[in-house]
Amino acid sequence: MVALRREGLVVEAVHDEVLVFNPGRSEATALNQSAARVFELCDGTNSVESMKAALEAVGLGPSSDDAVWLALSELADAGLIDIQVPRPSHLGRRELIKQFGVSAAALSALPVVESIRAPSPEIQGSGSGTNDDSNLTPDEPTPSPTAPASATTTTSTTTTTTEPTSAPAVVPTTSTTSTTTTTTQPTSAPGAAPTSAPGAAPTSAPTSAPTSAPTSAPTSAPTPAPTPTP
Amino acid sequence: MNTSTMVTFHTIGGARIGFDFSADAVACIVARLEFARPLLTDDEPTLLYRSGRGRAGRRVFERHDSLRAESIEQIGTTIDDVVDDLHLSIALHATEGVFVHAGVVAWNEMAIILPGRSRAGKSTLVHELVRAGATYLSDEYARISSTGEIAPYPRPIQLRTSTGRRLVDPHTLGRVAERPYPPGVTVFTRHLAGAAFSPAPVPPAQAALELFDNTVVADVSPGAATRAVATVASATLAVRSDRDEASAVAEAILMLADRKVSAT
Repeated sequence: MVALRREGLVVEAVHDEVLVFNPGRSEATALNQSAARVFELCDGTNSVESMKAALEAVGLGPSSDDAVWLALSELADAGLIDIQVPRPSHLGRRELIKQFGVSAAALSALPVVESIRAPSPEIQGSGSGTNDDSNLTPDEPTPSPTAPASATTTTSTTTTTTEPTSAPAVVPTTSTTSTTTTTTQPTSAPGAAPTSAPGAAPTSAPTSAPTSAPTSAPTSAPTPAPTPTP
Repeated sequence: MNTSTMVTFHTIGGARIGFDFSADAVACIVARLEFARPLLTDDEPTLLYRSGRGRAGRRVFERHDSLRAESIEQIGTTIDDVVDDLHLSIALHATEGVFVHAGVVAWNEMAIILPGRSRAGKSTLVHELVRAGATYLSDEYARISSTGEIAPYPRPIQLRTSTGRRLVDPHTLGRVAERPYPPGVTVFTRHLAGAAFSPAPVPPAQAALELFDNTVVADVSPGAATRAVATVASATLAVRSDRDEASAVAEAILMLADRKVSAT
């Protein structure tokens, strides 16, 4: 008995991986297959040893106590589980990579936990006009941004990051000057899909209406006026 | 004489928006919202636009919205300001579907989703994809239905020019969707001068997380948002790449959808 999933989480399987929303923190967390498998096993009955065996049973090996503890630590840091025994000192991600090597299979076996805070509508900006779609016309290139929107407008609260790899291109490149850098992790190895969904209850949007009530409504949509006033 | 009149419209996605303006102002706004299919209703609005007074006594438009951090906010002095503000309000108050900031086109009977917020170049890329033969769904929102399909939000394509904004009627470019499409490919991309388009796979949970980051109701209805983006991420091939000019990558993006069809 090592760890227990917290209650009230919204858990959604995404292929062999998992997306979790934690209402307590207002954060969404992505778990790769290894982290998802460990998360699923956090039911208060499994030991580190049994978790390690479960990872290896679905092809997510070679595993180790350190890899399991890395997953448990990151899941706990993300507020998704409570660890019920003292945490031992364990190897970090970098040390584990050295231990297991840098092959795609080894990297995919390492747990990855990444969180963002739920963005507010204000952070996301307006849907049009001056706040959005600042795209230039095709003959006027947009100045190069320095980072993706998701990286600049959200708060990453968990220490884990994706592993840099040389992931294969899906289609041939369209230019010979390859300046693209990718930070995605390798795709997951086949295995059992996580199925845990502990008592999740979505947060519903408030629906309170403004104080004013509709009065007499016109029977048809009026035509545009040249100089309307409020 | 301009008498203020309170009217409420149902819009695309089921938002109920009230306007407490003169009839002329309401008429002008409705004429600009053809894409949102506004229909008069007797139902209570869930947010309200009305006229107020600014600091210098100038008449301004206000938004009264309990879902925002500022429940009452002055949004500008012109009809354009109201119409611009309405897009996010429609997405935020939708009762049918979850709105994700993304350009969307259809190709090979599947939706190609291009998530991104402001200044991500969605409209320019969508413009080029429609010119290349794709069917237009939106340059701003992917509307994820309860079944996981992507429904149209077919407003005019808004391209930024050196002097302001240029609205392009998508019908002048090609086909415009009138029905939802199943999600097929999600492309996380940004413009980077000189970059090669070299898409690499994005793990499914990571794709879901990034879609969540672009979901309008992520903060106010996170359960629905989580389920919707997980559904889409489960159904799509997700890739990431920087890109150069939109015109140079449109064909490559359509090839991704072709390969998805071949693979399935």
